[in-house]
Amino acid sequence: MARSVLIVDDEPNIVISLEFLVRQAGYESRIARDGDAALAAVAERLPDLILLDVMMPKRDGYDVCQTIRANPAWAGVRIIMLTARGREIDREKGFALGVDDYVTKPFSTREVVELIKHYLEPAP
Amino acid sequence: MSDRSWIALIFAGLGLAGSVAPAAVALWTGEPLGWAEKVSGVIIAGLFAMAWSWVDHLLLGPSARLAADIQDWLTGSAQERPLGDVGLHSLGALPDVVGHLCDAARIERQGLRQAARTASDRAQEQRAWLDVALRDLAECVVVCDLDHRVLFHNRAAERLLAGVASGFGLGALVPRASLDHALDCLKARLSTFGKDGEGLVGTTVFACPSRSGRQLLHGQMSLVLGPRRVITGYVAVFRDMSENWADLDPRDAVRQALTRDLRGPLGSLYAAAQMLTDYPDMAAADRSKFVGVVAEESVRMSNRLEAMAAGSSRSAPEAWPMADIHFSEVYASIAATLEHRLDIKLTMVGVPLWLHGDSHSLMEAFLALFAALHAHTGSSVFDMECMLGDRRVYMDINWKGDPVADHRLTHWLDAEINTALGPQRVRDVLDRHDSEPWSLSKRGGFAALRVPLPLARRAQFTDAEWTGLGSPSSLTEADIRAELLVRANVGAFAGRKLDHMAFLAVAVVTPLGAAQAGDRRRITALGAVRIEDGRLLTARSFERKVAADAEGSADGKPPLAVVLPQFWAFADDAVLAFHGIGSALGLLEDREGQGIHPLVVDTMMISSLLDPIEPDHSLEETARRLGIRVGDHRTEIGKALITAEILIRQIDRLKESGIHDFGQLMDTVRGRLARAEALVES
Repeated sequence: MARSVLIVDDEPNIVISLEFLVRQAGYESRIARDGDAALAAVAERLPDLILLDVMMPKRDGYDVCQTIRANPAWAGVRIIMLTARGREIDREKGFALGVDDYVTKPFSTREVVELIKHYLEPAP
Repeated sequence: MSDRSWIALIFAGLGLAGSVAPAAVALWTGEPLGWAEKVSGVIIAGLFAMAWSWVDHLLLGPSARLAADIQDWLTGSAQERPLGDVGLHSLGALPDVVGHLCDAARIERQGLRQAARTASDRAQEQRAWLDVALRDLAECVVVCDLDHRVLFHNRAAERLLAGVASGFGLGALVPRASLDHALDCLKARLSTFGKDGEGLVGTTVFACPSRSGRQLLHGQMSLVLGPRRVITGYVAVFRDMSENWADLDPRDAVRQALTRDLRGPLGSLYAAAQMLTDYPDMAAADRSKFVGVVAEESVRMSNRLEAMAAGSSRSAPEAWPMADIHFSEVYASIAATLEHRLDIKLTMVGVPLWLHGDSHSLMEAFLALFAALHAHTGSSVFDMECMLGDRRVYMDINWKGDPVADHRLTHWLDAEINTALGPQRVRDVLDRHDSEPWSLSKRGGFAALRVPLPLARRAQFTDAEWTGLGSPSSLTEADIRAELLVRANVGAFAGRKLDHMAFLAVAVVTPLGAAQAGDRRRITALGAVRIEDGRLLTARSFERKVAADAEGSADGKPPLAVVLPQFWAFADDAVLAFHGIGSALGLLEDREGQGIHPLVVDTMMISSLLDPIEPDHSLEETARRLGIRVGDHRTEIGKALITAEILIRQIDRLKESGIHDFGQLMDTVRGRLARAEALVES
């Protein structure tokens, strides 16, 4: 069964690219448009990796990450944070709340794919 | 009737009695009154008259003239001339002595008047120089006393602060709260750094509106210290930064665009362009979607850039007024306000550090966060801790309980607060400090709200502060071991967990060589800081300089007999921690002399237990090994703080080694001491 990636972003134009990339890389993709939808999607079926935007309506990416990390049943999921907040302190906060990696927008699509592969297909 | 009249009457009475006495004798003896009796009566009367004349002219008259002259001199009418001549007299050296006395006093008075005139002239001259020097200064300079009464101002002050020339106090011209806060910060800094840190007090800056509300002022304040470092007033320098303030909004918008708003559309655009480049053979439907994305995001970016360009036409030459702040200043303001407003008990833990920011608006932001935390957690007890990172200082607010969800924190950051410049959001204040707070779990069931803040421009600790930290012992190692062995007691604390005990880290300063000379009781300073449940309670500290003699000293240092009871009351039932027991023996013997045996740990001894192969267990090296930055070690309280930090880290390492309670620690210490003794004897 293909490994699954949950794309969480309220920007439809970025979702188009990410979904295309994930599918091209051979992974199953699911989409969530805000924080609440992301947590519902995780509860429904645990993805292997989440591409998580920070600034979203209702519940932001930090809050989603904090909630996921507080639940031991969801401990195995990898989280890559995508954010338009370019400050170093935002990155530091992300790591403090439990993200595995951090990508600042604009990002290289190739780098994102490589990062996804890095976490989903660790070297033997 | 005057004294002179009384004396004249007495003489007259005596003369009359003397003149009739021969006749009275003749009558009493029954003999006839002859010429001899008559003549002798006249002679006696004449003698009394002559005696009166002598007393009157040579004693009473000169005395009266002398008294009148002195009276004139005292009332000021004749201070500039010598006393008058009393004429012929029989007062001996008295007029001359009094004359010399008055001459000396006159010369002294003339000297004083001259000195006062000179001082006044010099003050006028300095004022004139100051006036000339400050006349063309664009900044307004105001010198005030502690009640904000204006003692001096330059011309720029009259232009910027309308009313200053009319005698209004500064508190009536700018918000008094801003002045009080800046003054409190400087006072706290002076108190923190004490006598040795005068150079560190420096200035503090703040922003506030003018009373008219038409201008935004950038203020800078420094203290005026009188003799014995008593604060007598302050100098405030103000600049109009209204135009800069107007520029801040567009500049904030540019910053937000660069860090946030533009990155979204740019990310979409960049990704779509890469898709089109990297996948030339993609299906037409997919290609059409990406072309649409490129067109749409280009328009979004273009619109955003136009808006930015319109808003940032003016330059923003200066940043928001910020200054290096010592954490203890912020803590003092927040703790006092929280206790007053919300009955919240705030404790400072850890070693206070320097940070860079706008003190007043930070204080308001923290107060808002505390109020929200208090309402959310129900807790009225918080710790505030300052931690040093590579590029930031982290201010942690700690409480017993769970971390705060980020969405709740986001809501708190949107709360409006009243700063000196009017209402702003907590987020705006923190954004200005490039800060983004978050909540996290800590060990022991604690949670924290972490607020990163910019590092101070000044160095936290100077290199000079690393020197001279050694703990030279004036006793031999065998002496130390013997002293420690005697004091390796556990009392009723045998089963107490080390990380749940109260310790008092103590630094005792003695004159060099005093202990070697057998004088252990010569203590020149005492510093102590309390540790409870593994937390360094910086605010609960004890610091006293001790006078050399039993009466105290002229500069206000109390004698040891006064300090020691205060110290033991402060120590209460805490276990005392020293780094090297040698310098503390006099202190301990004082208590033991009262039949009380305090429990003691020696961090130097513990260091040798934990790192037996290390050759150096001095305070400096032990601190370095444990990763402790050494701050102000020059004061006794600085040394006590370092000792406390060492002990806290040592407790963690002892636990890792299986030593969890006080009894285990003392057993281990005794074993180590006994082995050392055995080695020496063999």
